[in-house]
Amino acid sequence: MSSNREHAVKDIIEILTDMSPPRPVFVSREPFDLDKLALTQFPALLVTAGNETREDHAMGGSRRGIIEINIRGFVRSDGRKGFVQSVDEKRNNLIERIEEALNTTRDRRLDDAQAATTHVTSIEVIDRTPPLGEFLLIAEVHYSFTKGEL
Amino acid sequence: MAITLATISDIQEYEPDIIDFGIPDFSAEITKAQNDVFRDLRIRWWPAYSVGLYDLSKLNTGQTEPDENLYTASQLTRATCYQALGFHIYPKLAKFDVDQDLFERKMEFYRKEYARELDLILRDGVEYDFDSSGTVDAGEREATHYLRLKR
Repeated sequence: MSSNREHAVKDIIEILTDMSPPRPVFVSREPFDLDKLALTQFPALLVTAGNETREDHAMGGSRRGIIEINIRGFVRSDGRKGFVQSVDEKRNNLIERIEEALNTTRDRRLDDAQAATTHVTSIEVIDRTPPLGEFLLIAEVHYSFTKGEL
Repeated sequence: MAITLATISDIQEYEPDIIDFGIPDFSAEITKAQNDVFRDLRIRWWPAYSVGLYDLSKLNTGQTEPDENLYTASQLTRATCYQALGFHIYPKLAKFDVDQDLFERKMEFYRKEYARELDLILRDGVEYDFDSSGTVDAGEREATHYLRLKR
């Protein structure tokens, strides 16, 4: 038994951990306490599988699903470097890099028969007291599957 | 070959997850900590040791600096780890917000431990192979003073 939701989240985490800078230093699937992160662990990402809709799309048990992958990002504008970027700039750069990384391979490396694709559908900026910045990026993974246990 | 007082493995004995905070390599910090330990010994131990070896009037004509390769590395490993954690590693991880975070508290803890450890080393006697014989004799690890009043 293999979970497509699980597979999609693992693939996204692997890609986000390995993307070119600005690369998140800390990527987790478990909720974490921001206060316990080191200064050097920013930017940090929390990646979780969210809501999903499923429906039949052909006869013969063929179905499709749309999973929402929630990517919550945290940046800090302070640091030990002489040049300090603003929170807004860091947040925008990170969002851009995440979308580019997700678009590199949009099928989430699911099987061909599952015909997956990925779209970033929304970005919500969450108010935080500076120097912290936060956003919630939702990426939808569309995929097909056949009902029943494989 | 230059002496090495501590490695990242030694530091991981005290903080096993220290390389998980975004800085994978602390070799530069360990080198700085080692040099700081040597400097503290030059300040706090070497003058008293020199006075024990040479006549005061000849102090400036004798060996003016200790040879760092003649220390016993294992004696200074713990102090170097505390030095590195307290003065070089945790300051990089701490956020220095209004409220102290875990890393700032650990920084202060290791600074105190370093002071305590160095003090114990000095009271126990710094092991220094003065005659370069390859072994540290009893006379080469004696404490240089015994809490005497120094004026």
